[in-house]
Amino acid sequence: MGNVIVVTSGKGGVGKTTITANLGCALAKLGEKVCLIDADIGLKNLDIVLGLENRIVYTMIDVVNGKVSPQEALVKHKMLKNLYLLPASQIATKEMISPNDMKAIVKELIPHFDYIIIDSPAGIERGFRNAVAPAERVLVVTTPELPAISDADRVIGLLENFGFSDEKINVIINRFKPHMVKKGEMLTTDDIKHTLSLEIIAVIPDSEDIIVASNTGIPVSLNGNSRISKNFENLARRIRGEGVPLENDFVTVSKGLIDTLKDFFSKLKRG
Amino acid sequence: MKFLFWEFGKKNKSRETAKKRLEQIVGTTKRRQMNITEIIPKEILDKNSDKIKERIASWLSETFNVEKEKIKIDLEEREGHVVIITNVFFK
Repeated sequence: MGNVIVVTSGKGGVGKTTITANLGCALAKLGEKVCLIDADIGLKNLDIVLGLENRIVYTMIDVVNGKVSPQEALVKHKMLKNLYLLPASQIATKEMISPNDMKAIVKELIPHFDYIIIDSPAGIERGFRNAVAPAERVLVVTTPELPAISDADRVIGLLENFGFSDEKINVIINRFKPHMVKKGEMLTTDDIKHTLSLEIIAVIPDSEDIIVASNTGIPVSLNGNSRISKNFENLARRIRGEGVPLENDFVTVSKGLIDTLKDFFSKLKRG
Repeated sequence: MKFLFWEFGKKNKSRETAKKRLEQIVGTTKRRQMNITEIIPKEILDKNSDKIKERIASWLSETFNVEKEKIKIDLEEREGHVVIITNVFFK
């Protein structure tokens, strides 16, 4: 499997950036050297989720314009010394970068990293094509809702037209709510798998911890107390080729009495 | 009381509705990859293209309940694959 991975979705707001940040952190925690690339030029957020917004000196546009090399533009993470970010510019537009520019940037970075993870913008236009161009493997993020799934299906069709085989495309189900599935009010993982005809690589449950994490700039993967950090670790291990069963993603979802009490007291603590 | 139980009983689970709607949304545009079982020489395709068009037109005519004259079918070869383009004029 390739080590240049793009995280995409089609529909906006399904959690691509959160998943990119947390997958990067989880892989780095496992000892891999990881570079995250924010390809959402003009609407960048990856630096904020990682808590690196004040450390940016150069952006991808400076690299494309030849001002600095890709390595000179990288920002090192505060807590994980083997995690880096190539930030996007907020004032530039997606049209200022081409798929060939992205390929050239990734080509220069590949020898220095174990994994390069690209955060794709929403949509299927230029920004999406830029993000996908250098990738060898794709993670399609969807939530268990109709608009997100139908957009994911459209994106998967485009990816197949670009030459990605089914083995190179995996689906991540984000914001999964088991209690709704139990009540028959939400599509199951099997329903989504059947619709998209692709393997589900991870199920990430809905969690308030994600909001807290983006407030603090510390991804949940770095919070040992958060139950869904285990889900991101499972995803990272699967990306590395380890055989972690998908059922393990549901272990963290089912709350025992102690977890329920823990959640209750942590909510009280937060006020 | 009987009315109350009836109300509870008839509650429709939205997952089932979602599945049906998803099938309608995605089902029509679903990617269907088929394994190649046989490669047919171009000459055979050219010779039989009228028969193929006729079979497709018959099926479409029955499925959509439209006259065969309102169905236009073209066969094109693109990068070694046969692309079937169909136009159905419903009005």
